Amino acid sequence: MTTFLAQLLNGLQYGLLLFLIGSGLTLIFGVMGVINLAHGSLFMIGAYLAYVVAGYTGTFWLALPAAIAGGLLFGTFLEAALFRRFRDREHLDQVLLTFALILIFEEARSILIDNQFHSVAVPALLDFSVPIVGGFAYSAYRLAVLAVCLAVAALMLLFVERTNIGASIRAAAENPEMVGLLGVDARRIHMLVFAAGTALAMLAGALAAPLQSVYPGMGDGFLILSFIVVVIGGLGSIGGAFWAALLVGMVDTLGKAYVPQLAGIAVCGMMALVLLVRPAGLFARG
Amino acid sequence: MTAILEARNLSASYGTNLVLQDIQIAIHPGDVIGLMGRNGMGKTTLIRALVGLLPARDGAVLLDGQDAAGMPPFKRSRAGIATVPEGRGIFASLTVRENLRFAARPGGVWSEERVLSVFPRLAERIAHRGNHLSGGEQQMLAIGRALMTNPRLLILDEATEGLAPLIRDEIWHTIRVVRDAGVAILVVDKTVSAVLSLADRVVVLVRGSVVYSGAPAGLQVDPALMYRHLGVDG
Repeated sequence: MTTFLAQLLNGLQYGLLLFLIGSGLTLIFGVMGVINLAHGSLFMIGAYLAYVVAGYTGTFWLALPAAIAGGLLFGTFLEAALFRRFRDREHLDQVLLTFALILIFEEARSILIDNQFHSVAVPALLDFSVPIVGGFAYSAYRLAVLAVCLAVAALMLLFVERTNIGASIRAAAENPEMVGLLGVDARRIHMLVFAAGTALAMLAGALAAPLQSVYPGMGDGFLILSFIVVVIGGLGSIGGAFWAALLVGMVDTLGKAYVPQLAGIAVCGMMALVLLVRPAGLFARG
Repeated sequence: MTAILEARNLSASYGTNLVLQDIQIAIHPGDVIGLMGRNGMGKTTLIRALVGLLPARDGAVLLDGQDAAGMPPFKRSRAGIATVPEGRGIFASLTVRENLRFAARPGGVWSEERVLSVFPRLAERIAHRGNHLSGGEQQMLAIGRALMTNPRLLILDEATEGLAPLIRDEIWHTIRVVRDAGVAILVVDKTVSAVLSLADRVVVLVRGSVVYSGAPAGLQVDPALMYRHLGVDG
């Protein structure tokens, strides 16, 4: 029972991290029409940033604002310098660009840091276990990650669903041509979406750093699952990405724990089923 | 008087397929122009070229007398060109209020209150999402949203298509209200009689070329032209 409870919480936490990555991916894909294969690398950069900041300053806490601020700046730069020019290009061109970025980011990481595995210590403030029920206790840091991810998800949903800028993002995801015909410069929306998506992926990486090793290519697995989240949730839908990420996180975690021989195909099978039954995604608005 | 929007010897193509040839059309403040022709004759393509969605292959689109080549649609909209596209272009996930406010450009006579007074049905559905509206309500929203940009020229592409007769009458009435407010109008619609009774001037397109440009009366007195180019008995 305690093992199952632990796996449930692990699945929830994994799903919420997937949401941070997948929500940016779905908005960038939905609003800009750009397939960003390098999104997983942004997750890795966030984790390495946490490793470097925690190492130099001696405190992990600075890594979180550094990941957000760094992500916003880096995303703005990438959008203005590269992605804007590729928005109207063929998907193959976009794939080539973002694949090249993966190689560049990995090479830069290799030159600037190294190719070793590293660990980031759980912050001392949260380095204990919280009794949950009976004799079962759960890592305070993991619970904090859950809380942060839920707070970010709530803020994002409120922002996208309740603010004028959020309405602009939804409009641009639905009908970019109409956005222009109504006098709105879609480039500003694109820049905002790309910067926010980058910041969320890097924040996810920073949060994940104390949970796992920091290592080359650590974003690859997250990228694949995040694309599955986008497909299941529906392109451009933040609410869809949230529920789909929880679903994928749960199925992947519980699958690995209880039916490891099927875990690899369970999530992909789920995506295939969605593509067959509801190709626009389970939570797409018609 | 300088035209708000003008096509001068305009040709445009999709790939190698030339779809507009040597088009001349000028829309001045207060004009109401009916753009007519059978299906596939280039009406929507001409609109797309005028609003900046399709580049000119030859000739030019002039905005207030200036060549608008390379000017993106959002800048043309800000210069006073509003478009209600075929299919309406409503944002389905946005509420009626969000759709209206998305387009709002202060400084003119068209405010949310005024649009809702013209379309009281939208006021009743203000918190409903676009995909929860009927076809007629969506069309009212599309027109109301375009008016929220406080345009000098309103372009309507098939604004009454697929609507019930009563709703159609309501849309035509609203277009007259907009005209009376001094907004120039370029209207494409299959209801020939309604267009002819509204427009000061009609332009008829056949295979991407203008075959008639003049007063509606000039078209109405030529039954052969009416039948051949518009498919109606004159």
